[in-house]
Amino acid sequence: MSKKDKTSASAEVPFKLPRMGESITEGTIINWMVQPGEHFEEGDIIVEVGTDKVDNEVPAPFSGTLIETKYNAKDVVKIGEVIAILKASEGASKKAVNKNQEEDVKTIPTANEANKVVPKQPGAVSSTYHLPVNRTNKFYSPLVEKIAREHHISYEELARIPATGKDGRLQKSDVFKYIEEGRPAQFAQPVAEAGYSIPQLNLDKGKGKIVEMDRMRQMIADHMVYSKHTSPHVTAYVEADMTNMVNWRNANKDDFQKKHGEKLTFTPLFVEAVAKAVKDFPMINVSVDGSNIIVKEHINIGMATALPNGNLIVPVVRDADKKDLQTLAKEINALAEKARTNKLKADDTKGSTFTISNVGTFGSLMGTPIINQPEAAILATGIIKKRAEVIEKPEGDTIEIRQMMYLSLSFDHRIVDGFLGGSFLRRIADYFEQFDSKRKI
Amino acid sequence: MTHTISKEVFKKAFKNVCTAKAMAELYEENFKVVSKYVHATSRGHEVIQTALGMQLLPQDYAYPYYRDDSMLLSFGCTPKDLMLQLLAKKDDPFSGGRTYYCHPSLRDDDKPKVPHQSSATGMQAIPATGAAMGFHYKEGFDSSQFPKDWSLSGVDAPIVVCSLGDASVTEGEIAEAFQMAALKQLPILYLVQDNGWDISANAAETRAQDAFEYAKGFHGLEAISIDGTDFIESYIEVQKVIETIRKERRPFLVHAKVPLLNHHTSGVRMEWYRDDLEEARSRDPYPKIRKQLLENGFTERELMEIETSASAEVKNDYEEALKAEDPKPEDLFTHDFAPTPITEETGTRSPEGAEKVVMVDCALFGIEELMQKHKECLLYGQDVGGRLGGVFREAATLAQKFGDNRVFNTPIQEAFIVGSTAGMSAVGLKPIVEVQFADYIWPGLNQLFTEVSRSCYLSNGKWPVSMILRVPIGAYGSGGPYHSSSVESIVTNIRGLKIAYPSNGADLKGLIKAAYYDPNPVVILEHKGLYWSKVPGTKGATSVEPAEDYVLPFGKAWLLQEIWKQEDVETATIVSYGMGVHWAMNATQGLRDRVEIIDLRTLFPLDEETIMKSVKKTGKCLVVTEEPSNNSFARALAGKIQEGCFQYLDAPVMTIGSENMPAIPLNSTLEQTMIPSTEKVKAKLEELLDY
Repeated sequence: MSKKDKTSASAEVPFKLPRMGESITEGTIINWMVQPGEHFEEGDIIVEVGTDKVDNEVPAPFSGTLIETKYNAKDVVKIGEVIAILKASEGASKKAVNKNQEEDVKTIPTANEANKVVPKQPGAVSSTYHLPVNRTNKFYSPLVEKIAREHHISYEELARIPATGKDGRLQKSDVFKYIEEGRPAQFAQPVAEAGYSIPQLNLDKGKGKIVEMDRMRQMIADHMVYSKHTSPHVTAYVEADMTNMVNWRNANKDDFQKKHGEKLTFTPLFVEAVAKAVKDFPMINVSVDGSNIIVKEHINIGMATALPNGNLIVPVVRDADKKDLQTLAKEINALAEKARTNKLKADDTKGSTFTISNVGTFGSLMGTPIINQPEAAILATGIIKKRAEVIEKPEGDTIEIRQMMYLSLSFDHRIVDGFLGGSFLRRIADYFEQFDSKRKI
Repeated sequence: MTHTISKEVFKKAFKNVCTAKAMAELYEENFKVVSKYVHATSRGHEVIQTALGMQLLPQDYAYPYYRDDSMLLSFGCTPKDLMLQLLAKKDDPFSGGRTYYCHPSLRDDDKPKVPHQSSATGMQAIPATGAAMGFHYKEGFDSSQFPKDWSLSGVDAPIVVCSLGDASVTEGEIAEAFQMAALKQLPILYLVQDNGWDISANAAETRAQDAFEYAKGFHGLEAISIDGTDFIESYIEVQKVIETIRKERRPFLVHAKVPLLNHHTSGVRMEWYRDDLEEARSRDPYPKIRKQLLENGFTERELMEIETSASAEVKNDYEEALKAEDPKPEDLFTHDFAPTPITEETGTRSPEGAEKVVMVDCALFGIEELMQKHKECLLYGQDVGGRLGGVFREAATLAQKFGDNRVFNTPIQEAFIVGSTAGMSAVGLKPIVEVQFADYIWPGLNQLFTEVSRSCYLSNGKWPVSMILRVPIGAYGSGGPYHSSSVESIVTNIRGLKIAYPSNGADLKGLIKAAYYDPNPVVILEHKGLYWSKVPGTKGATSVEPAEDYVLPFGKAWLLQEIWKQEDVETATIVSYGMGVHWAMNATQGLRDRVEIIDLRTLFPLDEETIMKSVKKTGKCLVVTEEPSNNSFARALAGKIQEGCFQYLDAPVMTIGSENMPAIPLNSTLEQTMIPSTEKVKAKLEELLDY
């Protein structure tokens, strides 16, 4: 190592907020675990960062000293921004450099992979979007108007694109970069200056205890509003006779526990059937990207789960179509446990392509779930309840007591029509009903 | 040699005078109809015009003015020919209904040649003198076509006649014409018809001497004064003068006193202001020539027959002319230019092994090649002759190589330098002339505008002027207010010219070649700062010298720097010419992949296709000029680009030029502040990209 290298080795290193998940563009600094001037070892948690998905602990990339923090607790920071200045201790910095390189290398193939399916990795660039953009310069050049017309971008949407031109003017390149990014601000955000004046209703919101929404609550709120604005939701309903499945589970759950050491809940059974149905209907396993539809390669099933504090989270079972029941049960139980104990990592909650919300857990008969963007559909399963059903048999109809469940599917009508949505939903119900009651565990 | 007039000549002359008089009377009778378009008649001037016109030959060149309808009749034009122009009909043989009565352009084999001349009084003197200078040059050079001793050739040597009213002789440009005719001893006859009136101003108010007296100041210009109402005197004196000019090849001025018996033009009524009508009528040439015929063997009956038949012919022709077709709207768009044979870039632009030469030499070598090849090519202007070879050495060695007859100095008279090319071109030559500095083009602009630029259009395509005007232009380091100016907006505002403004030697040479073979007038603006690549950052003006066969057609811009269409970065096009191209190239260092540069090469014709295509690609455009930007060619071009590309623009089309001050000051700090530079262009470009 030359002398020059040594000098640079102990130089100050900007510490950036790392990528924490595909859709995460920003985070909130919760707590600095290391204070300026303090020493840390590689792997020590330097800062806790909250995101819309999970809270994250950011480890130190190398051993050294924290020189300076750039943000305080509660500040919202974009991914990739420098949040602190670190100084590596002698001998540790080489690793640091390598680590940075590794990160770069990792980023590039990911972006390339994404290119195949059109959308750009949101990563660094989408982090420039800070919604809603409150732009005062609303002049659009003839060219920008032309591009907007060709890409079906409304004035409302144009107004939300971050502008880098003179006096905040929207430049051609701003628009094209935005389009490249998949038009992240495509749908209306609550904007103060709406096209109408808000009526003076003097709404009485009442009085009471003020509970500040935590960051996750705000994120959930934003996501729900965003999803409703984004996708025209249509909900279809079927009911399924779950008797075979319920009976089989009741008969086998103890053996299953004994044999595999895992509790057998309905969830892995649902996930298994749903993944199978998704495989039959790949056009359900999609996302909208501008004027393109991305048909996903993997079937990752998200499971809407309540956290102890009441917040909602969606842990993900990856490649659910390729896993056997035992594996599914094991993974699902682990995720549920992590959720209960607030130990979900960012990776546990990212990448779902289809989501199941089991509203039956709360005793609900059925639900009209809100799509977990950017997915195309979401399934709600109601409570399984015994009902008297007319059963048609060759020897004559009978009334029997059956385990019945309502299923509802909300789908994005931009890309999923009633035929597809209905067929898919019916297929799930069919798989439930055709459950092999002689199945071995 | 005694001069007598044959009976035949008398008869022909009287018929001509009768016809002209009948026409003037018919116009008055039908005033409401014929005065839709303004016209003037020769009433009172008929005899001198007839006496001269009858004696011209088809090889002669005549420049009549707008009161010379009798002269045109004497050339063999019919009353109907003239009336078709009076009524601005499509078949007007002179201009196709484009210009006024008695503004002839004729190129008939059997008649004297009449190149186009403007309606501005006296302005035809310079082109006419230019035609005479053309004969002078040919006679000094081309013995196969123009034997030096005409008496041995059996052909009457051609002369040029320039007809003027005395009131126009007060114009300054007349002096330039007389000066050159006297200096070079040119075969030209100036016929000055003196009726004592401007429009309402008379001789006493407007001149210290008449043209006859004035001519005495020009040594070598012989002048006579005659009674222009006396046919015998007029015919014989003019005959003598013409014989002398044909033989001795020297200039004459014939001052002919005449009365003006009709209105100045149809636009004014003489009764309102003329205080000499009675006296004028007493000098009516008509009864005089009638009397002279009676005294020379004609009977009253013969004369009456001539009068009757003339007036019947006039009436008949008028009826026919009335019925003739009017021009169609589409007839507006013909003959603005004669078609040029140079439409493609051909030849070798960068010959292998050829040397790099400075721009001024590319032009010099180009002209040398042309003169070597074409005997009709000649070069003149101030200080371009052998002693100096041009103040920028832009004509160095040419006089030594081709002789003082082909490459010569002119006096300081830009009007003559520019306007004489119209006459030179009319007699079949291809003059290359030079105005020493663009700052001094102003006295030449009148000729450029009134005579040179419109000749093709107003003669309905008969007389395109093939000439090259070289104009050293632009600021090149403390040239000060009279050696630095840019004038392209002035020149581009004159329709009927082709205009080049090259940025480098290879282009200049190719364009000079194209200009030479172009039958139309061409102005080549040559930046003095590029001549020697002396201005820092202009090394690009020095080029490998193109081969002799290289021609670069007008109207083909050069996409000097080309980029891909890029959506996610801001891009722009710089449109410029001349020095601006170098500023643009230097200003885009580091921005090469974001900025296209178009070198217009020619300001007219303008390669709009290349410009619009580029701007539609890049979305932004900066027009760079050295001129003060307000109301400039560049601003107009910016407007045009905006109009053509509006929906493709992401920023207003911007323009950068000099500051809008009246002059480029001498002091170098002030000069640098005044004119653009690489840094200023770069700043403007960045403003545009960041817009």
